[in-house]
Amino acid sequence: MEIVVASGKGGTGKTFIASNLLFYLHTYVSSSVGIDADAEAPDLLLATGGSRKRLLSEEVYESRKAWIDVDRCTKCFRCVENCVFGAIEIVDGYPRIDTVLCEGCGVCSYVCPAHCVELRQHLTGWIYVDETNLGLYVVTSNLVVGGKATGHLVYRAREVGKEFATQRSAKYIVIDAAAGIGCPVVSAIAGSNLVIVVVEPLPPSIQGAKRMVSLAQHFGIRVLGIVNKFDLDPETSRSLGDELGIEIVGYVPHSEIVAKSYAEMKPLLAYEPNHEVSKILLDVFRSIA
Amino acid sequence: MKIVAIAGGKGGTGKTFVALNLAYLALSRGYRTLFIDADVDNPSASAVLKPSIDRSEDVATFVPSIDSSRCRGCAKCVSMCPEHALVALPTGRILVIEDLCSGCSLCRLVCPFNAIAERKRVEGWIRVGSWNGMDVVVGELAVGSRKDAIVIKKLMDYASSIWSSHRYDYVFIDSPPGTGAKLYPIAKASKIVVVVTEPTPLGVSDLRKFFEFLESINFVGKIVVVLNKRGLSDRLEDEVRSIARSRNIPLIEIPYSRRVAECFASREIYVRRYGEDAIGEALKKLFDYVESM
Repeated sequence: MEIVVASGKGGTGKTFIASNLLFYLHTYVSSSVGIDADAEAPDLLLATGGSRKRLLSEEVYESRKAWIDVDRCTKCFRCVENCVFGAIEIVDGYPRIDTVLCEGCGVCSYVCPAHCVELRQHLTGWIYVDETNLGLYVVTSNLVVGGKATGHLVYRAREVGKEFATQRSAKYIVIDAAAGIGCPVVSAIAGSNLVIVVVEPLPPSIQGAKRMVSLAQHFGIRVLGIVNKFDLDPETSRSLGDELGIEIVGYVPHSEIVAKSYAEMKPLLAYEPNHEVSKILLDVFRSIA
Repeated sequence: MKIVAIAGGKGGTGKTFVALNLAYLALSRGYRTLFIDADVDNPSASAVLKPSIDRSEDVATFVPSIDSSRCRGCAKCVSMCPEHALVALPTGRILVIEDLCSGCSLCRLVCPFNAIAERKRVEGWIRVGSWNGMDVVVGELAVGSRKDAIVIKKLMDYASSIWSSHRYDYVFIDSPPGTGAKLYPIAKASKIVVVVTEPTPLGVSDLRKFFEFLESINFVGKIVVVLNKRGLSDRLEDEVRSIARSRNIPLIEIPYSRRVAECFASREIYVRRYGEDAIGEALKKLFDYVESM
């Protein structure tokens, strides 16, 4: 079963919930695997003890970038005219590929009458599998800085996660999604079994949660909500289930203990199992699995 | 004109909080100010400001539309499509899987029978409006669209056409979290990047990755780091300070307080309500610093 923790807005507590859910499932329910699908800012490993042993490190080459042989270029600039991504500029009289903007589609190569554009393979990022210092298993997607094709990388992380889960007879996969509702998030939730939306009772977060709920519903995936820091605005928090049209399975209070557990790189359930917030988390997670 | 991006790898470190307060301080000191909400996945600043919107434009990309009267089923488009977004059915018909299409239009170029027409698919919107005398441009991604990077690129193209024809003193860009290609048009347009981080292992790790990103694009503008939520961890705060020091980058520290979240809850700009406390003073110090850059 793949459970995705998502939010629409960054910093609402996705990794907080995902790391604790992973710890809970793996420790109390059944063997589980975590997947960090936030390839631009991967943090799940840091929230689950840090790496004790890297079990796998894989380079992913899903990106292609155009390359122009300027010696053969006739300066017709058809490549510039036909690139819909605005990735070819004219510099010193010659076309030049902006490799960050280039999608590697091959239009420039196709239209070039001098056949001087070729597509070269580029590194998209890395997939790691780690055993953490708490004995958890985490698959990480890590995008090269300035990289594209985050969606491909997230798909690959999910493939690796599923293979690894099968090998270990792990029943649950917990996916920590990226902020937002864009490409990497679509790749993280498509085909999953459950999306848990983490929302704070603040306008930017509520707006993000609404967008996230409609994205998940667009894919026909079941959605549950957890209100984080509900005590910032208890009244708004209570109305969030109706406002978002989803079942809220838990209300977690704001507490500095969360930042402290992060500083120790441990899920709160491992750091302070008897803390009031830990008890609330356990109740919430029991209602899910 | 100072073009200032407020960015940082991790979500929730306080980018929007810093951006809104810098813009408010510029405005209250009489500067002509443009605010760009580039967090297209979730335009948070707009959720707080609720600017009045004067006009809205679609951001549309190409998707192929197969003209069945012309298509002979040669499937050249299918074999050329780099995203595998076209499928040849056994009937000879060509199926378009819109979700996979990147909009590159190669299929249209390769079709020998001119059977592929251009259809526009709306990926998001650019909205232009104002808030208390400040011009505001907001980018918004359509739910279900994967083209966040393209919406941001179009937003920045549009915004730069606005700021090049107006005389602004300040342009503030509230950027989305991340370190990928979607940040590139924002960083490229900016003269100053304010990198907001927090003292957690996650914040520190993402700060490092964000610096790698700026280096990878050969960013030549100025950088200032904001250590937000100071007071959560002495050790990690020292780590952020030493990262900034080792790169010779100035650092402004903003202490942690629940009041910041409470201000968001009531959609209030922090310095408007609490201009004189330690956080308000830190924000003013940041603005003075940006002003002096």
